[in-house]
Amino acid sequence: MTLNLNDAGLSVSVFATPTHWAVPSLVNGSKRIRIDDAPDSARGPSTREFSADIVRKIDVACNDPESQDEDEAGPTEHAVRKAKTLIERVVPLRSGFHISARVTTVNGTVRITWETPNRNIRLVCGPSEATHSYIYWEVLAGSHSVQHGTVPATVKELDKRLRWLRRTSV
Amino acid sequence: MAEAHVSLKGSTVRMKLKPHGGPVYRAMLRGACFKYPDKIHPEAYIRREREQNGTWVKKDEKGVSVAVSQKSLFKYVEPKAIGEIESEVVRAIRNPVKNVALEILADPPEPDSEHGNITDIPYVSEDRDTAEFLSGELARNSKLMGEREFNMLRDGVKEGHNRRPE
Repeated sequence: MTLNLNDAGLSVSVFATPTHWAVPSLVNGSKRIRIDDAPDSARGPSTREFSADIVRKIDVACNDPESQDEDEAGPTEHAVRKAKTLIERVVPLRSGFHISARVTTVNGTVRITWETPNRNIRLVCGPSEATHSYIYWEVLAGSHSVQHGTVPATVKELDKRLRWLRRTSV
Repeated sequence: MAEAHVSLKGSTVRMKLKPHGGPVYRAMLRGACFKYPDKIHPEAYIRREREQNGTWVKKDEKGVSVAVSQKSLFKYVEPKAIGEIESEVVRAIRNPVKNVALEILADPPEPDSEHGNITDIPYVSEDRDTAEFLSGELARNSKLMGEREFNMLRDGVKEGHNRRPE
C-alpha cells in the first residue's frame, strides 16, 4: 500500500518482510527510508514531546504531594539535576519524541518512563552520586517481559535506547 | 484464608496466604502508582527505602504488602487506589536471579491472617534489574479497582468506622 503525500513530496509505504512484519517506510523520490531511520521532521508534529516538556513534568512531579507517600523521601536535588541534565542533552528528546514520558518520584529518585506495547524504558536517577543512576529496558510479549537489562544512565545510552524504542513503535 | 504450610525455614513458620488461589489486593498510597481507568504502574511494587548518608534505610522489610480483601486494606492504611492480582499469577512469576517463584506469606503467620507479603522481590538498591523486572511483571498482571467502586468502598468503610460504638 502506498499513500502519496503531495504536499510534503513524500509517500508512505507499508510492506511485508519475509517474517511478515509490516514495516512502515517513507519514499522520497526513488529513495526509500525506513520510519525508524527517518528524521523526526518526517514524523509529523502532532504528538511530539520535547525536553522542555519533560523538564516541566519533573518539576510538577517533584512538587506534587499526591505523588509521594506521606513519610517517603522526596526526590533529592542530585536526582532532579541528573534527570534534567540527561533529558536536555539527548537528541531524540531535543528534537521532539513521539512517545510521551511519565515522570514519578520514588525513594528519593526521579523515574522517567517511556512505554510502548512491546518495549519499555525506565530512566531512574538515583538520589546521590553514590547510588548509580540507570536505564532499565525490556522487551514484552503480551504482559510478560521476555528480555530485559540495565545500563548506566548516560546521554549516549539514553539516546541509544530511545532510538531503539522508536524503531518498533512508529 | 491462610493455611499452614509444610515447610519450615529455620524456626520461622512459613504460612501461605491464599494457598489455594484467589485474588490478593495491593493498597496504593501514592498517585504515582496508578492511573484511572485501568493502569497500574511498576512503582506500585517497588519496595520502599530511603538513602541516608550513603546507606539505605529499608521499609517494607518483609516484602510487598497485600491483603486478602479490599476492605481489609483499610485496617492497615488509607489507600488512594486498590490493585488486584491473582495469587496464582504471583506464584507463577519467578525471581530469575534466585531462581525461585514469588510467594505470598501470611503476616502474622496465622490461619486467619488477613495480611501478607509477596516475598523474593529485592530492593532496587540490592538488585535493580530484578526489582524493575518483577515490579513490571506484577504491575502488568494486576487489575485496578474502578474509581467509582473504590470511592464507594472507601466511603462505606469510613461510615462503618463512624458508626462504630465507642
